[in-house]
Amino acid sequence: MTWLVWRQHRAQVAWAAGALAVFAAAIAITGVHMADLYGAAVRDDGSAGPRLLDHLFDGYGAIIDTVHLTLLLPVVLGAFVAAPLIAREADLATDALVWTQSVTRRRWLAAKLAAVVGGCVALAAGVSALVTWWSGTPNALGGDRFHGAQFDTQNLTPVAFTLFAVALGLAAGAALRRTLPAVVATVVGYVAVRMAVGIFVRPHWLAPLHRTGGAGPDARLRSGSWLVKSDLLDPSGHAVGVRLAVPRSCARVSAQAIDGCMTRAGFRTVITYHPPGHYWPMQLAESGLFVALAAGLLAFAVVRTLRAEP
Amino acid sequence: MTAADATVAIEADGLGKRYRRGWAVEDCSFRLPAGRVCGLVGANGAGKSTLIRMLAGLARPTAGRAAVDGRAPDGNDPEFLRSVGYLAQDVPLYPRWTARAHLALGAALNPAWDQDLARDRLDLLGIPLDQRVEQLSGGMRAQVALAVAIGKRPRVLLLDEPVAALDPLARREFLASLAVLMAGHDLTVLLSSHLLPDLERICDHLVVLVEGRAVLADDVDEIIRTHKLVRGPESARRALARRHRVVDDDSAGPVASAVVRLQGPEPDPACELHDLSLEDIVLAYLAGARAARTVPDLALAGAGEGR
Amino acid sequence: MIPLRLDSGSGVPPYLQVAEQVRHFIVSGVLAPGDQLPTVKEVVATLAINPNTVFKGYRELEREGLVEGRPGAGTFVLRRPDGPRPGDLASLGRALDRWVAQARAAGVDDRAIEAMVRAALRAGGDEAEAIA
Repeated sequence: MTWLVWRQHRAQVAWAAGALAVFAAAIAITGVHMADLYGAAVRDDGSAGPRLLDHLFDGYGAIIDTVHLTLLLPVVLGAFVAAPLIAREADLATDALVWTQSVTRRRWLAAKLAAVVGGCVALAAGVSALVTWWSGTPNALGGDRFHGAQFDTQNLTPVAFTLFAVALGLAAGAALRRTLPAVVATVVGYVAVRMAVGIFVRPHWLAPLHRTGGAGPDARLRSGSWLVKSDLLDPSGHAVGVRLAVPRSCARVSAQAIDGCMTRAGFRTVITYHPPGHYWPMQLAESGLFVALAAGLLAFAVVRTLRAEP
Repeated sequence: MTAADATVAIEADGLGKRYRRGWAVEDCSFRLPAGRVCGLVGANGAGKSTLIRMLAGLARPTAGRAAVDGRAPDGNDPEFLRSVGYLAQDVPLYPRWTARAHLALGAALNPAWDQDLARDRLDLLGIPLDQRVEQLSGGMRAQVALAVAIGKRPRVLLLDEPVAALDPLARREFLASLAVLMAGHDLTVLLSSHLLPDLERICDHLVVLVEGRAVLADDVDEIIRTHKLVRGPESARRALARRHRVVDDDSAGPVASAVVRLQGPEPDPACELHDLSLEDIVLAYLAGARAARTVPDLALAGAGEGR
Repeated sequence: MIPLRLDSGSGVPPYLQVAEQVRHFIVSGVLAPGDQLPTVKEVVATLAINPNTVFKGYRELEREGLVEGRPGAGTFVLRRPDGPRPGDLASLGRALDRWVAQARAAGVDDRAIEAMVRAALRAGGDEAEAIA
């Protein structure tokens, strides 16, 4: 089976190795540079606030975007490596060929799964390690590892997402037995689940904290927190909708003083947030969910394939 | 060599496979002695493919049991997989792989792989080893697939309409190479087709499948010997049905005319007996089964097992 | 290469057809005592017929003592069959021509003639043909 797995996946391995090498080089070079830049800026300016260093990494847009693009790695692996694994054999009818050689169907499936699941998870782990290391500097600068693309591409979650996407691809391939539908189903399913979990579940892994403050832009949160949402309450305690009725007393106040005026008028801002200490528990919780989903999907794919009748 | 072997290469006992739309194979029973080339013949949709896939371990029977080379077909039994070769109807190959790569696949997945056997076959037939198989003709692709199927030296070879899509010359060459293979090796072949003339040449055993049932299963020589066209007076018709098996009755009016499988003393001497070709006999079985469905009061023995 | 043919519509089992044709070649001298019969592989490669058919046909001839199979070497012609003397064959042939002419003159068509000949052969035939 080693020969067969290698022969069928050697092109994919070559592409992945090449891309990984290029990516790693770019990460290493820019990461070191950015760390140096940041370190120098901090020394020069004493206590460097985020505002001073806002434009420190302006020239690094390309690599920053590339790192954010690793958000797509799970779905790419799931749709283009995992989904065709079983579906293409069914498409070409070559499953009738390989399942009537001297290798049992179980052994065939085990070897294939071990290689693809193992390979994809290893790749995701490698990319995540690179991104996490590289992100040390931007995280220190922006304190933003807890939200959005950063949460999805550093530490544990990208590996769990990849495992989920791969399992989803295998399940789609096993169920649909045609490559194109399986690819589409994998992409659609992955996006749907990730969005649903991200929007409805993620804020609630741990109970978020609340803080009330004066009317105005985000209160000062510790670096590394995740601001889930911010609501402006009117003096009676109701959340203000789209149309803000500025009280007459503040109608002709200058832009700089409007916040103070609103606060004195009784407006409050309530923020919902997760402190930095919630980061790791939530990484574990969300990763755990996706690993559990992956396990279920893998089990389905295995059973379905072992019972298939080409 | 192997014509009188006592061992049974393929055995089906009440085999059945049910899909949502109905039974594709139903109560199918026959035994194929080893060393035969057995033709599996029947109309399209008669259940030939389903039967072969069950024998190859690719489909699970809904009812009954089967044994190939003494083992129940099971895709997870390495001994079974080693001794049974299978070639599917659409001749599946990896389109962008060369013939050489397919042989390497055979070598990698089969411990008992005979590379010389497979390689020599392709060389003798002039099949290029280093071209993508999608660029080869249908006949060449069938030969490549056959080389992979026999390279592991199976004891039983199951071929599902391997020549259906080939032109007549390619068909003849495929069957000839199959015959040469038989001559040199201890092998039993089950070969399904709806093209009877091909089967007549190379098969020494025949199974006729009608609507999922084996209505005839016997050595070709026996079939030819025992099936006759009987013509005679009306009174002979009842006598016929009593003592022999009437396969297809196409009597018209006062003259009885039927294809009969003789299984007793000769019928009424007033009857004429005519020899029949294998094709005529098979057609009689196919027609007789259809008639049995539509005109139940004809004096026909039921379509049961073939033995 | 000795040309062999198979007539699938004749009702005669293929192995007997093979035996008959080879016997004919021996009788007519194409194959002389000591000559090797075509190997099974040669025959099936050309005819695409079952090897067992050829085996059985050769065994039939072996049974009649006309050929001998030598393991590993092939099958060889032993002797010409005890047949009719050439003169007998010729006069029988002429008698047959006359009978056929008579039958045709009486309005019997060729197919009916064939059927009559077959029936006559069967009536006098050997026990292997009897339906037990």
